[in-house]
Amino acid sequence: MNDSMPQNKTMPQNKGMPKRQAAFREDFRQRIATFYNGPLHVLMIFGIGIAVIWYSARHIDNPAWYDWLVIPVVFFFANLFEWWIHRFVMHRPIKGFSNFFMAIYTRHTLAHHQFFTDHEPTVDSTRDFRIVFFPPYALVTFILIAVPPTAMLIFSGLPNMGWILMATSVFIYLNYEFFHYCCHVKDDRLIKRIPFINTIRRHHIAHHDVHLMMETNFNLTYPFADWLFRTSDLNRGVLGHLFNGYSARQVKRKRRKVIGAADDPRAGIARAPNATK
Amino acid sequence: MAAVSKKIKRSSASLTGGFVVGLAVISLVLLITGDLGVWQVSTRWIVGFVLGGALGAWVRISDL
Repeated sequence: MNDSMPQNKTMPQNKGMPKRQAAFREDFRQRIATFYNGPLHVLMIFGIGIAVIWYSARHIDNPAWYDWLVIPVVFFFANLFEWWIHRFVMHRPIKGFSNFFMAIYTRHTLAHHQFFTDHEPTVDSTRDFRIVFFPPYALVTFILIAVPPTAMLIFSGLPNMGWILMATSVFIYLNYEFFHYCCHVKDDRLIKRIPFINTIRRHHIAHHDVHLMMETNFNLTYPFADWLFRTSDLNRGVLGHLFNGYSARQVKRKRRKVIGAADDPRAGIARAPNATK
Repeated sequence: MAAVSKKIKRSSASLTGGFVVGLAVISLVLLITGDLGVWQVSTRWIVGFVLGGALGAWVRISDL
């Protein structure tokens, strides 16, 4: 973090990078392919995403007021999906399905969370984008998930709703990637003043605490589902959650006991309060 | 930890992902240029293959 970070009761302060995290970063960076280029990675994701939004928008023709109702509905279900996949796929080792889900767990819990901790949650260079942004085929997969409901609406005689659904779905994906990048960017002088983004940055960096990551703060855009399912580290109402910013004044004090600290290889393994050693 | 890093480096996902991205880009180029009515059909296919092939190949060689 830098000097502009608000002091006390706000963001976690940089407590110095644990040796384990430093070692992982060094190892990971050595293994990033020579041809990798961070800005090209981002350009590809946003290029494909914006192209799909633009193409969808071109097909929206004189929409009725009720066609726009698709937007809040998609935001609602996408928020639940984001929470669900983060909690139950990205943080849970699920075998089978040709290791599809296991690969997601490995990339996220065993790589992303080793690279970024609440001690040091920020990138050092654009090559670190490799572990911040999803690979571009994740966006294509997300688009393919949105195709059946889009087609269903179009062929049901509701083409405007269908194209708005597709555009909104892809917008939410880009929203996710942008907000997640803002969570891990080094310089937060601007970000800390932008509503929603400052909220999710604090929310997500708290999630990178190995003591909390398996059970707390799973949203990456707007912490609505975390509020709804009581998996947030805040003790606030829904509006308080959405506009919390950097404030840590209402962070819950009660946390589950965990083994060791960040340099303990068993760190992050939650234990029942009455469990014996 | 070494096993995890090895997985990241030599992921077969980047091979499948490269094909997926390549096909998606080809489809997008054909859809957009068709919608705009620009270029001849053969040109659309050539541009789609070149762009999709390049980006798909990059996904693979970057081991994304």
